Amino acid sequence: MNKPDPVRITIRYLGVVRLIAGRREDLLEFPEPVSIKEILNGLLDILPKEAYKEIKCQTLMLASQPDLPGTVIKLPEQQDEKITDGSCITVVTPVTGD
Amino acid sequence: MTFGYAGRILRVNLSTRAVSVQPLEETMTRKYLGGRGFNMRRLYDEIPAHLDGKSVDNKLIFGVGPLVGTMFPGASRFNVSAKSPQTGILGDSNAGGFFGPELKFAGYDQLIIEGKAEKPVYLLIYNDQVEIMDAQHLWGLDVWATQTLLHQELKDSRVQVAAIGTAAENGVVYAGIFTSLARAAARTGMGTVMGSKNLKAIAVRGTKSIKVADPGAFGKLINEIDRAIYEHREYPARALMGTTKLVHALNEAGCLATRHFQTGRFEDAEAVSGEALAETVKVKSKSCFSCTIPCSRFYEIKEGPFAGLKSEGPEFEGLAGFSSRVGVNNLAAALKGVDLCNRYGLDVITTSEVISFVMELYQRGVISRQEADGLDLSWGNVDTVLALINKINRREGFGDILADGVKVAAQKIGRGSEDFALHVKGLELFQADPRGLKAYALGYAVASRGGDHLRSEPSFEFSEDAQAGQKLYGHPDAAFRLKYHGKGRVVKHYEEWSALSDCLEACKNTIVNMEIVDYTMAAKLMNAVAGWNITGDEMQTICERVVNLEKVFNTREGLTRKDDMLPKRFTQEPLPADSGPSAGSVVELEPMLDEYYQARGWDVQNGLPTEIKLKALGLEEEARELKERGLLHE
Repeated sequence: MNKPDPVRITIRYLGVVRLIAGRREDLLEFPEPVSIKEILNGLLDILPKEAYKEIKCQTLMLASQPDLPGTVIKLPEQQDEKITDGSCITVVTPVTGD
Repeated sequence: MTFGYAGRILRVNLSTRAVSVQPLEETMTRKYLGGRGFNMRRLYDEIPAHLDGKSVDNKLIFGVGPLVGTMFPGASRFNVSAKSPQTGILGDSNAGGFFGPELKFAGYDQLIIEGKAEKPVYLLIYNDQVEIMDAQHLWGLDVWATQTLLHQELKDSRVQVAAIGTAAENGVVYAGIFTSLARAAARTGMGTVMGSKNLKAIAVRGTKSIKVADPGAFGKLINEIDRAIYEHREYPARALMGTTKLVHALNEAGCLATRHFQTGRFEDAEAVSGEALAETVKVKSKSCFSCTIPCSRFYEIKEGPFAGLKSEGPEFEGLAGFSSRVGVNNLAAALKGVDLCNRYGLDVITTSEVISFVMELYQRGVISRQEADGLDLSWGNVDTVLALINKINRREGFGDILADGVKVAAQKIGRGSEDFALHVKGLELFQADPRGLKAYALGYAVASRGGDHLRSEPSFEFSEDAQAGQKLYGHPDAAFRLKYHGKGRVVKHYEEWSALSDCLEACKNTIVNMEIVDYTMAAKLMNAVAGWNITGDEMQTICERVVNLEKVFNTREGLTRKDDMLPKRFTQEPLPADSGPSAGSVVELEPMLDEYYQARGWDVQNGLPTEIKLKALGLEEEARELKERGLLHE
């Protein structure tokens, strides 16, 4: 049986998570296709606790590549969705008025 | 003894140099609450219809609210109102900082400026001592120099100064009034009115206290509110970035004003983002008087062509206005643009619109470099952006064409340029594309001061809470920014909620956007502060009355449904494909307008208030006047 190709996902941090974590982006590699939930759980090992706990208050966007516009990820509906190689998840502070 | 209120109105006539103090009417407080509510009442009663905004008979009215000067977080604001010289309708602007509380500490709920001084003057208010002082040595100075010199002359750095810059002196119609250096009451040309009266500044120092009816109850409520703010999910973002968070947030949503709203996504948003600002040039956070959220900041540029620039701010409007809107991808340059506007005393939204407007005309070949004084109006040209701000300030050359706002500029340029002038009722729109924000789009169209996002700020449409949408606004679509149903009711609700914030003179970010204070809480606060026995429903009625009074003012000026519109770009041109989630969106305005007028109890055909509604709000006299003018329907 052929081993699945590794999956590389860019996580882009904007807003509060970026400023608290002091990180702009991570490139994660997984040995096989991975779900959104698994990716988010994986961030626990990367981000400081204070930054990680803010993720649930942020908007998550999924794009097929970094620098392309994304679509909003709806959780928990999409949590088991598998992400394709090269995709980018952006964590951004939601729009809530000026 | 008055509780919450200072209980006094200060009236200064610059023509006669008469200074008088009147008691604050009890009916005013119970019917109009304070701040914006007070101002709207005075405006309607004392400004005749169709008055020119630069007329000597125009009045400039500053109002503060019953919470200002107390420990209520963010109750630091004031409204300043007049007939707008820019739009010809209701003029009103709001700012934070420290001026409002100082005026209250001096013992005044409202300051009314009448007439015109023979030569430049400034007003010095030290509690009961009010003097009209010579300001010829200040005329020609920018806002910062004016404030600095006044502090030196008065030998008191605690004096709060509201000043105009050279833009107002030169008659630029979108000049604002600036306090605490960078706190701007910028919209609708209130600085222009002040300049037309030869009034350069108002310096106020107050040492009186503000009495609260039930300090114990008030203290408990403040603790509850502070806790709610600290624990709010938005607190970290607002404390760390303030409104600058919106650059990336709106960009990712595909509705960041980019190259004059030609698209909703700026490829260089990262370079000019609130995040980049916080990481590279921010020095420390800053808050307004008594506010729990330090949402502003001081910054300093240490290298590059703008090395040495340091200031407070910016807010999102200025940051995006001089970056994405004009195609500039340089953070320091954008900050310089904001700084110039602060010093000259210019409205950043209008200034960024007129510049991006002519850049688009240049792109389309409608205007040439030659007619723009040789300036290269290509997108992203920093030198041109800064040169135009300077020219506008001085009303020099091409800047003179732009100094009356985009509507007049388009009329002067002609050649079909009117189609690209993005304003509503003569007031230019802020940096979020309404095609991606349907409730905001409706709010722009119906706002009482023109194309304005702060009259409503209907942020509920970002919630995506379909259940709440159904329960609160009658349709689940109300909770989604790209959908339409329910938005008329959303805007009605948020207009009145924003009016609450402006009447209390506390910050909309906490009261409305973070939903910290609803009508029930507002009633509790007023009962504790003023010793009233008012209910939440009665508070809502006050706010609905204020909104309706503003509508009556504008109806008297001749506005109807046809004026509640949006520029063609937003109703006919879909956002392009690179706008991500908002791609393909336009605004279908008419059904939302119908729903809004119905929710308001106004006439759906002509968009005017009805006699029934006005009488229900205690506006019988106003209804009678409109009827006599043939403007009112049953």
